[in-house]
Order: sequence, then C-alpha cells, then structure tokens
Amino acid sequence: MDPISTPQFSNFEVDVAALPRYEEVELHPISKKYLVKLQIGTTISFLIFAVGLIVAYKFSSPEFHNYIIWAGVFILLIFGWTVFNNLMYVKKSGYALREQDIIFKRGFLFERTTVVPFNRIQHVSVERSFLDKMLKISTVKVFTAGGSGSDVSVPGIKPQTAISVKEEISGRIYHHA
Amino acid sequence: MPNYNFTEPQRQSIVGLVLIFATSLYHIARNLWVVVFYFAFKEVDQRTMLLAGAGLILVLILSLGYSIKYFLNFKFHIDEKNEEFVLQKGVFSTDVINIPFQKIQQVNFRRNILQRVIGVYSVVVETAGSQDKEVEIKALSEERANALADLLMAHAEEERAAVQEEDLTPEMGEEKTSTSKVLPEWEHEVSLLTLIKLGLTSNYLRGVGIIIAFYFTLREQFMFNDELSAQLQEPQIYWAQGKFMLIIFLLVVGMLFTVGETVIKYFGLHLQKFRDTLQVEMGLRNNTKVNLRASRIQLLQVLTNPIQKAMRLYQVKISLASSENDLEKNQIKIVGLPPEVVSQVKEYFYKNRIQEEFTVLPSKYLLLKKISRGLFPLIIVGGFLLYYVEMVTVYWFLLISAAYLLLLVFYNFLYYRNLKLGVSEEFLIRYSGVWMKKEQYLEIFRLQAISVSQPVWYKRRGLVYLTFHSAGGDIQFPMVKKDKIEALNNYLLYKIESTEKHWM
Repeated sequence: MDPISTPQFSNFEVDVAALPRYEEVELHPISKKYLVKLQIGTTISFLIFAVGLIVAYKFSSPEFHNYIIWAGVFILLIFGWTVFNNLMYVKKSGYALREQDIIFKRGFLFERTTVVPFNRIQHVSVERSFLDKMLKISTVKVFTAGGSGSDVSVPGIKPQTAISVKEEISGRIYHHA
Repeated sequence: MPNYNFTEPQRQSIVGLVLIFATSLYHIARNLWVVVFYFAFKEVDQRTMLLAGAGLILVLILSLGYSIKYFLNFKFHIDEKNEEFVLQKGVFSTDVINIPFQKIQQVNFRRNILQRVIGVYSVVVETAGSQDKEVEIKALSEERANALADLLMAHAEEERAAVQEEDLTPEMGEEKTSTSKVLPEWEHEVSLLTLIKLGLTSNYLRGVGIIIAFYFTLREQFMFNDELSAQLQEPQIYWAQGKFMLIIFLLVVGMLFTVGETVIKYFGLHLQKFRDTLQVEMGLRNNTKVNLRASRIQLLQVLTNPIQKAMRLYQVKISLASSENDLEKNQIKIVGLPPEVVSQVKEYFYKNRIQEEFTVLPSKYLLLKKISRGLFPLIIVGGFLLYYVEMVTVYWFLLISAAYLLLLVFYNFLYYRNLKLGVSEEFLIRYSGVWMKKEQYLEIFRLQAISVSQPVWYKRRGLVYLTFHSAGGDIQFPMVKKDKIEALNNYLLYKIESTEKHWM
C-alpha cells in the first residue's frame, strides 16, 4: 500500500536521502508582540458585537431577550475560541531562511508550510501598519509569480531583523537573476 | 512584403476611423436605447421631435469629432534605443504607455465582425506587468499587423535571450533570426462537423442553466409591465400539464445552445506549427490568432470524456504566466483534437519524452472521507423527513437512500481510483476525473513554490495536502503520507533551486 517505495528513487541522478530536508530545519518563532496585535484586533471586533447586542437588548421588546442572550453566549464562545486560536497560531508559526529558500510555517487548525526558492521570488517588501509601529514589529512579504497561494507574508518580525531578512533575500534574488 | 518602419510614431490604418466611429456610435446607442424606446411608444408633438432630432445630430457630430481626434492622437512606435514599445493616446489628455521589450509576453491578433468587414486586425500586446495587462491597437492591415507582431516578438525574445546568455543556453541565440514566416511544419484544422460532434457530446446542463437564468432575468426585467408578466405566468399552467414535455424541450434547446456556442467560439480552429511558435486561430464572432511559444507555457492540460475519447476528440488547455489571480482567464483552450495532434502539440512544448519514474497515490482515507462527507446531506434530510414529515413512507425513503448511497460510493470510488500524481525526471503529472478525465502537465523547473498543509485532525495519521504553485495555476493533491512525500518535496526543491533555466 506504500504510495512511494524508496528504492525507486535511485533512478534519479541524485541521492534523495542525502538532500537537505526542509522539515528538519529549526524555525525562528514569530514575535509574541504579534500575538498582542492579534488579540487587540479580536477584542475590538468582540467589543463592537457586544455593544451592538447590549443596544439591541435595551431597545427591543422582552420577547426577543432570550434570543439576544443566546447570541451573546454564542459570540462569547467564538471570542474565547479566537483568543485561543491566536495564541496557538503564534506559538506554531515560524520561518527560516536556508541558503536557497525561505520556509514559512503557520496555522493551528490548518497547519501550512510553504517553501519558496529564492530563484523564484519576484520581489520582497517590509510593511508596517500603525499598530505594528506601536508594537515595534514588521511584516516581511515575499511575492512570487505563482499568485496569492505561493506569496508568503511573515508577520511579527523585529524591524531590524525584517530589514536584514529583506536585504538578505534581495541580495540572493539579485544573485540569481 | 513592403518594409514597414516602426521606429517613427505612426497612426493606425485610415479605415480604423470607421471602426472608432462605429464603436462610439454603438456605445451611444447602447446608453440611449431607453430614450429611443420612449420616443417610439409615447406620442410626442412636433416641437419635441424637432428638438430631439437636433440633439441627435449634435451628438453625431460631436462623436465624429471625438473619433477623428482619437484617431489622430493614437500613435505608436518602437523605440529601439530605450528598448520599448511606445503608445500615445487620449483625446483631452495624453496618455503615454511604455512597454519594455522584456515585459512583452505575447502578441496576438483579434478581429470582430466589423473589423473583418473592413479588413483590419487588432494587435494585442500582452504584458507581464500587473497594471495595463494588455494594450490593443485596433486597426492595422494584415501585413502591417504581421510585421509589427513579428518585430515585437523578435525583440522580446532577444531580450530574453540576452538574459539567458549567462545561463548558457546556446539554442536561444539562433531564434532571433527566425522572424520570417515560412510554411508551417505541420498544421491541423478542426472541421465544422467535428465542432458539431463536440457540441453534441458536451455537457448540456450548462446550456440549460444559462437558458433558465436568461428566462428569469427577462421575467424580472418585464415584471413592471403587468400585461407581459401575466403572459409570462402562463408557462406555469403548461408546467402543470406537461412537465415531461417541458424537460425534453429544455434539454433540446440546451443542446442546440451548446452546439451553437461551441461552433461560434471555435469556428475555423486552425493550428499551425512554425519553427518556433504554434499559431492558433479560431472564432466566428471574435476571431483570435495567438502565437504560442514553448518557452512561455506554464501548465498544460489534456481533457476528454469517454464519449469524446471514442470519437477521438481531445481538448488541450494551455496556461500562460499571468500576473493576476484570475488564472482561468489566461488559458487558451483548443478543442476537438485527435490524439496524434495532441501528442504533436506536447512534443513541441516538451521536447523530451515524458517517462514516469513513479506514481503517488492518495491515502485510502480520502475515499473514506469523501463517502462520509456525502452521507451528511442524507442524514440531515433523512432525519428531517422522519421526524417532521410523516407523509414520506419508510419504504420510499430507504429505496432512495439506497440508490443515493450506491451512486455515492461508485462515484467516489472512481474519483479515488483515477486520482494519481506521476513524477518523471522533469514533470509532475496529475491524473484525475470521474467523467471528464484530466491530465495536467507541469514542468518541475516552472514550479514557483510548494505548500504542505495539514489539518490538526490528520496529524495522528500523518496525512498532508500538497499544493504545487506555478505561474499558470496551482496543482493540488490531497491526503498523502507525510513521511513518504517529504523525499519528493526535497527532491523537487532541489530541482528548482539547482536549475539555471528561467521559468518564463
């Protein structure tokens, strides 16, 4: 039932077992400050919903109160889940640069690892939102020709590190082009 | 062939003026038809009639003036020194578009009916940039269009060759000289009969769907008119009388519609293989001529269904690099090809024979997952019916669910059995499809990135989903053993990273 049996690999001109393994690379974690940013975003949207519900409770007739309370419980559950999800997301995500490519792993429920070789990168940029500036973090964005699916954006990197990651990648793209 | 000098700014063919004027008239007519309707049905006195006539004449004169000015201001030329194609246009403001040679992806021809009547071609320059994806020069004589396209493509290839020279690809150098069109090496024409056969064996449900949607939009449009809507209600009476007839009628109309659509879209489909390009011409209403170069093909798909396979009708879809996420748009569909021509096309794009080294199969849990997903609607509907509606007898329910279950298992078994990923030294090939069989060919060096995803609940079983990103679209493959596939991914990454070939 083995989908690929290892002996067949020897047909290739390289020894596959000796190739560097992307799965074994030690990943750099993303900054805990990014977690703060995520939680702030989640809390704000929760507050907006909460205020909406409270207003609705005040101004609606008593027969609807039951439904509103249920909606409130529902939103509270979602809020709790999102807070937990954010925590796990930041804990599980990480990135690494190798000699030839960048690896970015993210997600908790759906863990996704993308590997982009440097000789396929179109350009790199560093972005900072208002909140990023307050928290002193940046996002490094890597663009490819493969559409949004293969573009990678690594959040929660220290500004100096982000700049040097960008410089490093740019240098290597230039080297290839 | 007269020698055209494209280095000086120049205008389109003078008949292009007719085209511009006709197009602007068409736009005016489309915007003003409501007014015309008003005049046609309302009784108007002479004064308003006169005013309207004067207004119409004024509009005509203005649009003629606009068209002339537009024609005069529309100029293009090739700037050899700065290595770019320059286009100026605009009536009130001047718009200058510069396209560097290296950004030119394709130069295609397009003709609508009017352009065919006055004997001109549209030259469409497709670029790789994110904005101004394409630039169109709407009226050039055939010879001038050909000369311009050849020159632009030659410059684009030259630029590419210059980039590649460092990468030691000698065969690129000689391509420069081959700009003159000679006799094709091979060609293939798809006959009208083939197109009709193709239309008859396609999926009519789409045609039926379009007709139904068309009916509903029409009904909505005319709802404000009581009399009309009353008339339109009548089909519902017929509906009650002859459901069967109506279904037959819809299917026949859907079939005719599908055949018509196929014929109009692919009329006169003509493939010509020249030394370094494959030219594809097709279309009745909008005739397009596209030059495909092997170096630009990102993804190739071959599709067929069992009936079409028996009639030797294969479809080839070719994806070019696109800067947008809308990857479907940059696909070129060539239909109704016999298998020999398909392999000729493949041979041109991919010089080496594709020899699969091994095959990756999805885990058997995929079949399990697909079937259990399919059970959900049955359980929900069944539960609902049994608890709330007592008019459904258990007998009928069991019969229908047994049939559904059988179909579900059969369908998903075929899906699971047909899904596989072949790996050759230079290719990834994905086979899939239950009714419509699909083969997707992706050259390994054209890969842009690889993604591996895993939902938390597959962690224990060690199953992952693979996504291979290319500039012509993604190839996905579900549910494979992670520890088995890692070696493949490492190998693919090694292949991308060690290649000196440029993906575009």
